[in-house]
Amino acid sequence: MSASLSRKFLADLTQVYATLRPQALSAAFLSDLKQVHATLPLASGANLRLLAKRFDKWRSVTQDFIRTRFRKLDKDDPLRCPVSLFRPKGYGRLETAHTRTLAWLLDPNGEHGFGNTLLAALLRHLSGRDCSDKLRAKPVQSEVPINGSGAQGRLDVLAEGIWEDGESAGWVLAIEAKVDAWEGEDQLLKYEAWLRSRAAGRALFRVFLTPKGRPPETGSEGWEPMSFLNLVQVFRNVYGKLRLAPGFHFLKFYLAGVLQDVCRLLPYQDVRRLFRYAGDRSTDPYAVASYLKTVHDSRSEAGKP
Amino acid sequence: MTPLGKPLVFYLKYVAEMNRLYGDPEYYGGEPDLTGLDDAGQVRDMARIVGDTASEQVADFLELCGRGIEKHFTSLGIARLAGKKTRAFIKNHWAWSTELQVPSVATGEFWCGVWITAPPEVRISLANDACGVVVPWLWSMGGRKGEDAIWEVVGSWADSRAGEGLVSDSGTVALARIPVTPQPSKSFDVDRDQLIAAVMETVARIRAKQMKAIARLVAGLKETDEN
Repeated sequence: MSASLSRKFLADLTQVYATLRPQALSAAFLSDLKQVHATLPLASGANLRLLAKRFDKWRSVTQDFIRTRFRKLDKDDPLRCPVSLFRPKGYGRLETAHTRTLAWLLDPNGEHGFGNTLLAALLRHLSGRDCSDKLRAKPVQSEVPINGSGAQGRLDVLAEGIWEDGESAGWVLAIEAKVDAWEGEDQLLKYEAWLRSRAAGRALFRVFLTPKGRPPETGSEGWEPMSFLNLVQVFRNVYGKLRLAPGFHFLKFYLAGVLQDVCRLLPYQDVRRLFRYAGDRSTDPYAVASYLKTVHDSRSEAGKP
Repeated sequence: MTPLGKPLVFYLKYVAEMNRLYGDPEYYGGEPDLTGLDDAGQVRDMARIVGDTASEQVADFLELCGRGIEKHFTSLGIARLAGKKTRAFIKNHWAWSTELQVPSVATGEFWCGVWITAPPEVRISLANDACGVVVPWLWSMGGRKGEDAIWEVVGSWADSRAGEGLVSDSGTVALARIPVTPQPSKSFDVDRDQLIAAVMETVARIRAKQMKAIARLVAGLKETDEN
């Protein structure tokens, strides 16, 4: 539809519109603003210097912690491993490489020989229930086409199964991962209805996996944000049990690659640099420390009677 | 000289610490472990003030870069700009970008943007005394192929491609790495005007001819995909 409007009408409209716009800010507002602003704390030079001093000490304490814990790390720990599974092919941050591998690692029937160890560790992390010997899962799928319930797309990882405790109806685990890309428009929201219908009353765990564990921009609150570092930590908790499995070295190179290429925690030589040069800023020592704490905690847990 | 802003320069110098204390805890893997941090409560309060101010200063800086970039592409007379970013987006992401369309080349749209960052957020070694980098970039859909299309046109002078340390999103080409260098080196003083001039000098290398060439290559990719 188009309308032919006279110049006079448009000029009048402009005039009327101008009277509707707020006039200049009132003197009272400006004076109050000035008063309130004067009470605000400032990021003064002195404050910045004090903060810098505190941060330098915090970093130094954290680096000491890393030094101590690093020496105690197992020789086959992924943090010590300089080889990234995907980097030689240029796939270090390729999303599909990660999600397909993740689906394979979680699949209890995979040739890796891990059984349901990794899947159970992840479900335990999400549900809080210890379920490894009561878990039965269907083959884990990746790049699952989602059609229907108003949604269209591909879900990165889908696992389904039951707990053999006779108490609950079973579970569905959905993982949507983003390495560098952002979500498509309402992507997770669109998956919601499909997932709920698929779960049909079973417990539904939805994981939004990103390098830093950022929350999703869309979707319900049911999507649990998880960082790749957190995922490595969950797997690291049960890593020691898998040493004799055929897929152990694959898992080691995969986790090393996630730490290096996705979490940017390393490369390996950067951790060693922390030992030599206190001013080094190329590695995030707090993330390294967080990982080392997990390794330590998992050992303490394993040592419990 | 217009200062970039001491809080922003401070943030770049201490990215790992500031991200933990000021960033969304959910985003940075939960509540930070503050072992070794004296006066943790007071330090957190100060970090919040510094972070808030730094984010405003980032938005001021990137909006100015954005205005310059928009002016440049508009002045070429062949481009249409879309997808303007809000100030809130710029503050959250420390990045500005715009979509560039060449109306004579349908479906040849690509994006130009600028972001500011520092290691360990990016895996690069900084020049001596620098505490961060400003990165003007181009991006196209099509992943590696989109990147190839852009690289074919600007590769002789651009800085690097995705995965080479500075930018990681497939389809992106970093046009330059402009160091943020305090003067004197121990201070938090950086000249914002110089940084903006360096960004503009980089973007100005993309003339109408290069723009059309990129748009044609990008559009060609889509035709190939459709066929």
